[in-house]
Amino acid sequence: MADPQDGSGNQPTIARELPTIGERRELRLAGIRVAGRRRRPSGERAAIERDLRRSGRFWLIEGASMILIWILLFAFPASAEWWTRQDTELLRRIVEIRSDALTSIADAAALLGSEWVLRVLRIGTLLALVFVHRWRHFFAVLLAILIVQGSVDLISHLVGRPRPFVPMIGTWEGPSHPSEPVAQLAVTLVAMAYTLIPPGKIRQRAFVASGVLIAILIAAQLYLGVDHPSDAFVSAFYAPAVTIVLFRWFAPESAFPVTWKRGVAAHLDITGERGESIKGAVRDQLGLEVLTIEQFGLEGSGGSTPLRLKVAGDPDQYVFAKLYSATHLRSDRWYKVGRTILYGSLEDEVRFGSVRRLVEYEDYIQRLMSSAGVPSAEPFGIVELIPEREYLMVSEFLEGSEELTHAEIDDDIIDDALRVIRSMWDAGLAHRDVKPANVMINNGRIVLIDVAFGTVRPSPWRQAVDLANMMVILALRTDAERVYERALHQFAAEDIGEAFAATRSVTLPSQSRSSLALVKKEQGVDLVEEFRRLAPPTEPISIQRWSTRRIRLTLGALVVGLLGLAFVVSEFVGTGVL
Amino acid sequence: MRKPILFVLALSLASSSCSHLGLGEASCVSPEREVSAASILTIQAVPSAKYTPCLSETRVGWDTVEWFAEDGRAGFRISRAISPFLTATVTPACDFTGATQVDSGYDDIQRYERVEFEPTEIGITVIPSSERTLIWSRLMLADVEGAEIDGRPVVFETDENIDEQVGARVNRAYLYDNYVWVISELDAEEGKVELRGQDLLQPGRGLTPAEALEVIEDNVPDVFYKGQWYFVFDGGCITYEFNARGTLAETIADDAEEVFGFYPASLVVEGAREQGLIIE
Repeated sequence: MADPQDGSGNQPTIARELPTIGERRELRLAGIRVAGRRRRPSGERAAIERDLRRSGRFWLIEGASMILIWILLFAFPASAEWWTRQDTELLRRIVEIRSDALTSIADAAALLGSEWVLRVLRIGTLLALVFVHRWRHFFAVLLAILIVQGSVDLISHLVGRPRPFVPMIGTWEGPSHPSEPVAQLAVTLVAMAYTLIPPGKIRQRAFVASGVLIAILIAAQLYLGVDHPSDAFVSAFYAPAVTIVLFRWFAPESAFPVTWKRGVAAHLDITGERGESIKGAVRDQLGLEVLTIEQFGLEGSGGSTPLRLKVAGDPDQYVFAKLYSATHLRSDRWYKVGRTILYGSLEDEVRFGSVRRLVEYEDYIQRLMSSAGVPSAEPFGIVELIPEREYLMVSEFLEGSEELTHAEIDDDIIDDALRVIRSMWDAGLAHRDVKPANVMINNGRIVLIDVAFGTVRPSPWRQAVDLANMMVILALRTDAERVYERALHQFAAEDIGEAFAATRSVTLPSQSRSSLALVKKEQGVDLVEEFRRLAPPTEPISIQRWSTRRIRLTLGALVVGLLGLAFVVSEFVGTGVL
Repeated sequence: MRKPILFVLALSLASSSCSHLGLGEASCVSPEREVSAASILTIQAVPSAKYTPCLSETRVGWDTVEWFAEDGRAGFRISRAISPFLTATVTPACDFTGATQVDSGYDDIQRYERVEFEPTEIGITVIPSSERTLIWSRLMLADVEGAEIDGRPVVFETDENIDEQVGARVNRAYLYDNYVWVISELDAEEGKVELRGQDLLQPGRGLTPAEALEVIEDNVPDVFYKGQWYFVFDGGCITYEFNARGTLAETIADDAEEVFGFYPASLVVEGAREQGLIIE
């Protein structure tokens, strides 16, 4: 939205006008049609509800049924005897049809539940996930296996059911109920289908094929007389139920879609019913008629799902939106843990308690930056999709803007960019993520975007780093001397000296680091060293801060790392759980 | 996540209210109500065995008793601080080559043992080389009487066969795994001893008794009891695999004799039939 004016001459922005739209049924702002917003009345469903879907409800009912069956099976001696009688009678009929040929087939089929078949399937799946960098799925598979294995072991010892009293001709280990080989195969196949195959018909077929393989193993176990029918059937339902619930909770498809592209960051699904729900929510809460939704600039974003919404207007226009969910909140928490381990308590690394708090903070910082004269995209408002768990932040779309590093840069642009830093310094703010992708030129003016990491009253170190990062970006398209000369118009030479005394490899965003490396390779110039040479000599500023929290987290990370290493080693030497 | 937790909770509740749930233990006493799942699984694992291993009680320091069963073998493992020190396994047969037969106390069970152990007591044989040194050694022993090494009692005995060669007397002491203090005329005059031992790298000459005890302390191995007991009977064999150290090693053999036993498989089958597990 290049020019957010309504043509009345008062130049009101869309954001300023939005609060009054509830009273007027329709308004056009900067060509965008804003229809009357409405309040969600008490009792009305939120835009998106956490829906278990039909299959989720099925597994929930199935889980409840299983508890009932278990109680009937084992809590009352009379019913236990009845079940055993039914199981034994069925097994005896199966035993009667035994023949050499059928036994050979059953022996082969029983290999489906053998340690080495399961090990190959599981390690193969995990290696494939490592190859495509799908870590969430990697840990979901591990978790599913550990939970199913641990719970089956626990339940079998709690129940302590003997093996069937028919001639057993297969291998077995431990109590009979629930059947461990069936549970192990089921969790492995379901986890493979959930992580290796994108949703759709192929995954459905994979589930059917898994069902067939599990049925074959059950038939073999019964034929060999090592499981009661009720042992095998309970496992065949229990293990998939646990796996499905775990995947819905830990790696939901909407947040962690299965794709075969390497290193794609997790982004939320915006298609189908969810997409329609998002459109409805934006219409109801902001009064904007969304025509299309598309993902936009995914490569530069890991902390949210950035979207471009085409909204009805005259002509139709784009607005920008960031979708935040509990998944992003968790990512933010882990990111902050990582930063605390790397740098200590140098910065505010307090985690947010909910997605609502996260978006409230970003909205606040965006508005604070705006009132401090820091040019940024105009915020339009926050849309609630799932209360406390999922929100959409809608703001101006900077149509026609380009990254600073792609634009022609003159002295005015340099001054403007440095003025932005100066404004933040004067207002006691820091952006904390000044990198080429976040510094745009829009209509000849610098605009700073993605202020989510911004902070109020930052450490002097952090403000200095903001300045250094901006000067580096400017120098990438010009030269250090020119940027330094222009900077002296707004900053003291000592400020610049401090900025580059605080600069380290880790304080430079990775995008800037790679650009600097390219300049050094092509031109033989180390821009950071150039700035250090130009500025007054300043003692390097340590960026490491130690605290008990950092020590605790570092030790915790070390322990987890060592456990992980032990886990990997134990798998390779053949004593692990996989 | 809730579903598995619910399952486990429901089963825990069910198991706590129903005495017939859980593996239980294979007791050596005839059960008043029903045989345990551990006993039944044991006879299923080795159907040919006439007896199953059983446990009449546990002792202080035996942290966990873990029962296991799979086709062809079953039994239990006793651990302290997650480290197993005794495993009892019933199998259809076992290899007891090289083991020594001892009395089992049962007509239909043969017992074999193959055991290494380091006893708690540390034995020292004092070998005086002459009549004069014999007198002095008696005086010296009165001073060191009641000595302990690492809390283990030191038992002294004096070899008074002064007419025999010292070398022969030393070798005889080694047969009992004892350390040896040889006392020559010169040593006796200076109040010293010569220390010898099978696992000592080199003998210590001219040591005071206190110094000799210190050298032994540095060399003496931990108390341990390791090896196998085999009990062979119709259709099966029970192997007790010992690997006990420290205080456990001091008592494990006596404890094992007292609390481990043999439960007739036929009684387990009968119990399972009464519980409705074997359908006629």
